[in-house]
Amino acid sequence: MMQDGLQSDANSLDVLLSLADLYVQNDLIEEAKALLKTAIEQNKGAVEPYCSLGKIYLKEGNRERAIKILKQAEMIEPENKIIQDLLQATGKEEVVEELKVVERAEEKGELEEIEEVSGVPLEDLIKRELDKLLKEEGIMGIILVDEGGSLIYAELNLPLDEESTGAIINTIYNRINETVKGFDLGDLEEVIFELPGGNIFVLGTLSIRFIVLVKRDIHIASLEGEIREIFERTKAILEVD
Amino acid sequence: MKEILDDLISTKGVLGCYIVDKEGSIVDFKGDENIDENLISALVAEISNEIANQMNIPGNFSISALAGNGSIFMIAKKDFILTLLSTSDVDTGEVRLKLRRGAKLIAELL
Repeated sequence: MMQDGLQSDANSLDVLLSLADLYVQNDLIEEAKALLKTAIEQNKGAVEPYCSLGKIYLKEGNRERAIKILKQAEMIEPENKIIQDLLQATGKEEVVEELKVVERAEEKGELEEIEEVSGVPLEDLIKRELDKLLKEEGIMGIILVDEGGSLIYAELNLPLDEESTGAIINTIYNRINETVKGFDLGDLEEVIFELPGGNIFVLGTLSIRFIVLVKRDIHIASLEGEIREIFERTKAILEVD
Repeated sequence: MKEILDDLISTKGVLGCYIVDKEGSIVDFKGDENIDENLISALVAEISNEIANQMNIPGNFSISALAGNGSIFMIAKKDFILTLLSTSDVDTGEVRLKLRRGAKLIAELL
C-alpha cells in the first residue's frame, strides 16, 4: 500500500531508492528487488537503481545477475566510478571473464540456459515464461500447482482466490485421473473444462498441474499449441517429467 | 435415443457411450461389453457432482480428458450426463461435435 502510494504520488526515483534501502535494511530483499526493477523501468536513463540492484545481487553471491545488471548500467554511463568500483569489487579479472561469457551467450541466444544454472530465482524464470502466455488474447490467468494442489505460481486477471481455485481444479483433475486409470487409459495428460463462465485448460504431469483460464468465446484449439509450448518450457525450468 | 448412441459408437476409436442420470444410474448405453457400465456411470456422476459442488456449477458443462491410451468425454446437462470412452486415436473434434449434437437431442427427448 505504502509502495503504491509513493509510486502514484510522485514516481520519484529518490523515494523509490530510499524505500528500497529501507527494505534492504529490514531484510525485505525480494521487496527491494521488485521496487528497484520498477525504478529501472520508470527511469531507464538513471544508473542508481541498476547499482542498487547490482549490490543486492553481489551480496547474494549471484555474480552472473550482478554482472548483467551492472553491464546495463555501464552502457548508460561508461565512466561512472561507482559502477566500475562495483565491478572491481567482484574481482576485476573474473568479472571481465564473466562478462565475456555472458556476452557470448547473449550472442548465441543462450542466456536463458546460463541463468538456469546460475541460481536466478525459479519464480523469475517461470514468470518470464508465463507472461508470454498471458499476453495472448483471451487468456485470463494461469495457475501452477503441485500434485497435492499447493500453489507454485499464479497470475490471475480474475477476482478469484488463486490458492483455492488451484486446489479445487487439482482435486477434480486427480479424480478424473483416477477414473481414466481405472479404465486402463493410461496417465491423464490433459483436461479441458468448458464451463458457462469460460474454459479451463489443464495440462498435467505426475508432479505438476498447469492450469490456464481462458475466455468462453475464445476457441481453445487456437491457443493449444502456445499453451503446450510454454508448459514444456515450464517443466524444463522446474526439472519435472 | 438408440440412434444417437449408434451415431456416437460408429465413430472410429469410440469404445462406449453412456447416458447417465445425476444419481449415477445408467439411462442407456452402447459399447464394449468388457467395460463395466455401472462403474463408469458411478464415476461419471461422481466427477459431475464434484464439479457441481466444488465449482458451484450445477449443470451444462463439458469435460474432455485425454490420457496416454485413451480419452473420456463428458457433457453434463440439467438432468443427465452423456459420456463417451475412446481410444487415443479418436478424432477429438469429431467426437466433441457429435457429443454436443447428441446431448442437445437427448435433452429434447427427456
